[in-house]
This record gives sequence, structure tokens and C-alpha cells, in this order.
Amino acid sequence: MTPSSRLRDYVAPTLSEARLARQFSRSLELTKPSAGVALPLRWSLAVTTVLLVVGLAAQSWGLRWWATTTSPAPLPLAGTVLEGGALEPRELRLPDNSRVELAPSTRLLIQEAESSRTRLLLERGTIQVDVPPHLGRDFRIRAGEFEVSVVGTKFLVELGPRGQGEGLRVAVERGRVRVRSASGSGTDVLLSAGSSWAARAELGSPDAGEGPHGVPSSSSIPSPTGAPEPAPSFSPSATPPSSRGPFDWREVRRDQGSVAAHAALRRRGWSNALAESGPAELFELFELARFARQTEDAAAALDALRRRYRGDSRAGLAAFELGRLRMDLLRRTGPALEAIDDAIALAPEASFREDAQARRVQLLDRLGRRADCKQAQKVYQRRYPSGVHWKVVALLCEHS
Amino acid sequence: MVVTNPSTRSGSGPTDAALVLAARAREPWAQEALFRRYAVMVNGLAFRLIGRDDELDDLVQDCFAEAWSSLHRLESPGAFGSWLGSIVVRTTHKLLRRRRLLTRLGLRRGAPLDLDQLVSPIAPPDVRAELRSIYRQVESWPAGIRVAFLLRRVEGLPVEQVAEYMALSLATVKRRITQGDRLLGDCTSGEVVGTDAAVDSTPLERGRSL
Repeated sequence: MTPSSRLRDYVAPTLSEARLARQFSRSLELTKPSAGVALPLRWSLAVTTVLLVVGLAAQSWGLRWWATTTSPAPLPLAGTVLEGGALEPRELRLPDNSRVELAPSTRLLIQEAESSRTRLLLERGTIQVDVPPHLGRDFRIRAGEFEVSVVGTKFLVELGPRGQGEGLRVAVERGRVRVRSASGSGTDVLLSAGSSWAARAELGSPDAGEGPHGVPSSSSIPSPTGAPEPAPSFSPSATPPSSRGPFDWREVRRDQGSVAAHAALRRRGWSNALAESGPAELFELFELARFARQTEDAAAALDALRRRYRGDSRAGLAAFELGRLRMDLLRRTGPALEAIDDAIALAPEASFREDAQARRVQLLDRLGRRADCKQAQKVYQRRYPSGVHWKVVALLCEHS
Repeated sequence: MVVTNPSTRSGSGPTDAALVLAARAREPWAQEALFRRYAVMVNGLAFRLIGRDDELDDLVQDCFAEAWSSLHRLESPGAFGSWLGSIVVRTTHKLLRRRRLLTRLGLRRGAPLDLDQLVSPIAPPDVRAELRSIYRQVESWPAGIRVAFLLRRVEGLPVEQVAEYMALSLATVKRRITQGDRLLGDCTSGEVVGTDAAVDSTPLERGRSL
């Protein structure tokens, strides 16, 4: 009879990023409480008619809707135009739980507003947007000739009024934002947290060609890092510099899945990617590699984080996760123990401490170090008399 | 339990306990992180229990929806993985019972089992033959015997864990597995009563802390 582990290995579904994204979205939808109370049919029809009339009026007349400043406004309808107040900013909440704050004198059109798809058109002014991370979310803002797309971030978009030579400015506070030409050619830049980008172009030349809102369609020069930096104006006859953004594995992951994104990074050099990454990115790379079932690369990302950023609040956690990988998947008991010990040393009061202590006992048991195993067992039992791993820990250290 | 090491908002780093706490605090990134961490496990376990792909998405969605709704009842946040596993087993069991009842009442005519789609094309001949035999047989079994048997025989879980997932006594689980062995015509039913020495240890990807 075939060992069970072999049988399991040969019965598995085909999973893609898109499929998982759908499953996740749907699981969230299934937990939302159903809206409203059942009304008798004639009342239902009356209410529906009223809502329909209001919706049509809002769309055909460009009805203005001022959100309150005290609390986010009710979810707006697609087709609604919103304007910031003369003096005060306004805030609203969208169906996908994103929040948008409109600065004074801002004008924003909501083209689409669904739980996983949002399209906004910034006609003038400044908005601050806070988009929670959400698998499968499609959130885009059209501003002038550019399109800003996001996956889970907080950022600012500012578009100068027409005819005054002002352009688009995007500043990212958290996460990542992509800015590209709406026409699909020319500008395509990726901005990370702490960076900003600005585009300016002169109007007036009849040969410039205009995109929507009178902004010339020629591309502009990005400055994706550091403080805001005005891009020089240029004439339509000048050759715009290449403005393709850097390789973005997150885009590849979203479009083609984790396996493809990981493979693309590997072609460029996994070690290089690790060397260039800060602690937050190293965690993301760890997750990417795990999802692509590349355990060695996942372990390398964690190892890089805990060794290079020992003062970072995530170092202890990285060491612990590394210990788990080495113990459970890579089956390297000695290195696993080293990582677990490092985790305990780096973060002695962390929430994973109990797990770490229990694993320590198990690892020492596997290594045959009976005296150390017994000692670690006592430490665990004293510290966690009602611990979740109590029963398992109690059975160890007898035969090592 | 206090979360002293908040992770990145991408949710790739924290332990299950930290993520559960964050998810309870209505941090959407934490739910996503938990989903990402266990989606493969849940899909795999559900698939191997129901034996077909066409109902898998609904089943997985229901399992995670149940998890999100019941997160506040999870007493040990660090045991999220095994708790989720028990949700998968319970939900699948109900689905199989419902399916079997509707079929017997003539209210359901499901698609025939596609064994070629179920078993990987790269499976060695002996493994392929065994899996085809198992899944062909379990289609007609009562749900309780089918689930217990598949968890033990295909999933490779220790008998104690099967009992925990199915919320049954050890004796009941052993009896069902033995019944499954008998139905399958397997002569090695002694493995059920013996130790777990013949069964591989549970890999972490199924979400257990140890």
C-alpha cells in the first residue's frame, strides 16, 4: 500500500491567482450582512422608483454632492460629481471601503464604484486617497492624460486647472502606485512609499495634440524618488526621454501569478532582489517565494531580514518564521534551532514566544540533546502551564 | 495576547496568532494574509475530500466565510490552521451528506466523477491505480465513512487529528476507517489500530504550529 503522503501529493486542484482572488472576494461578500428589511411589494416598488429617479437626476444634471466633514458620506452613486467645499476639505467612503478626501475647490467624478472596481476622474484640485490592501482590487484614477492605479496604498493626486501650465503631481505615503499615460504609450512609472512624481507640459502649440482636458498628450519626465522635483517643460518637437518604469514583480504577480513573478525575479537574480530590499520588501519577497513554493528562496529572504536589520521590529518575527521553514519544510534541525533561538533573543516578549519555546523543545529532542531538551521542556511548562502545546511538549525528551 | 511585532501591511510575516488578532480588529490586510497563507491547504484538503473541481470554489468560499464569521470564537489564535482544517472537514461533510441525500431522492444528477482530472497525470502507475480505486469506491459510501477514510488514507492524518477535525471520539473514527478499509477490500486494516509510525508527519503547510 502506498504511503499516505505519496497519495496526497498526486491529488491537488489547479489554482491560479485569479481563482484565489475570486475565492477571497467571494468569501468576504458572504460574510457581509444582507442590507435592508423586506418590504411589502408595493412599498418596495415605490422605494425603488424613488431611488431610480434620484440616481437618474444625479447623472443627467451632474448633481453636486457635498460630503460632510464630521463623518464619511453615504456611499455615492456612479456618475456623481463631487466638489470640495470652498474652504474646508471633504471626505467620503467608497463601496470598496476606500476613503477619499477632497481639498477645497476640487472636482471629482465617480465613474464606477463597486466593491472591487473603482474608477474616478479628477477634473481639478487635490485628493488624498486611502485604499486598503485587497486581493483582486482594481482601483484607478484618471487625472488629465494620466492614469493612477493602486493596489493598497495611501497617496495624493493633484491636478492643476486647465490652461495654466500646471500638470499632475502624485505623492505616495504608503504602498505603491503606478502612473502611466492614459493612451498606453509613454509614461509608465511606479512610485513607492515616500516618493513623488510630477509632470508639467506647456500648452499652446497647435501641433502638440491634446488629450482630455486640454493637457498635451506628449509624455513627461518622471522623478520617482525623493522630494518633489518639477519636470522641465518641453516642446512637442523634442524627443521625450524613455519613461518606462522599473521592473515591478508585483504587477507580474497580479497579472500572471506568484510563480511567474518569482521566476521573473529569479531571472534578474534573487540575491540581487534581496540585497536591494528593505525590511518591508523582504517580507513581501518571502511571501512571494512561499506562494510560489520556493522554500529555499523564502528562507533566504527571511534570513536576510533578520541578519541585516536586527534592530527592526520585524527581525524577531523573521527569525521565527525562518526557524519554522527550516524545521518543517527544509528539515534542517540544527539551523532551525539557531533561528528559533535567535527569534527568542531578538523578541523575548513577542506573541510567537510560546510557539518558539515549544519548537525549541521539539528540535532539541530531534537532535538527541536530552539534557538540553529536558531543560527547555521545564522552561516551557513553567512559563505556559496552560499552553496550547503542553501535551505535545510533555511527551518529548524521553528517548533523545 | 499582545501583538508586539506588527507586520507589514502586506501581511506576509506575522504568526497566525498575530494575524487572527489583527483580523478580529477588522484589519482587512490580516484577513487577506490569513487567506493567502491557508488558501492552498484549504483548496487541497477540500478537493481531496469531495473528489471534484466543479464544487470546489463554492466550498472553499463557504469555509473561509465561516472562518471570518467565527473568528471571535477561536480560543487559541495560534491554532488557526487546525481550526480552519476542522471547518473544512465539517463543511465538506455537510456538503457530501446533502449531495448524497439529494441524489437518493432523485433531485440531483451530478456530473460523473472524472478520475483523470482528479489524479495527477504524473502519478506513478501504482499510485494512480490506488487513487482511482479509492475515489471510485468512496463515491457510493456514507459521508461519515468517506471523510474519515480519506483523511486517514489519502490525507495521511493521524487518527487523533481525524477525530479532532470531525469532532468525534477516537473509537468512532477508528470504526469508520475500518469500515472504509473493509468496503475497499483492503487487507491491511491493522494500520488503523496501530501507531502512526507508518504515516508521515503533518507538514506545516496544513497550518499547524507544531
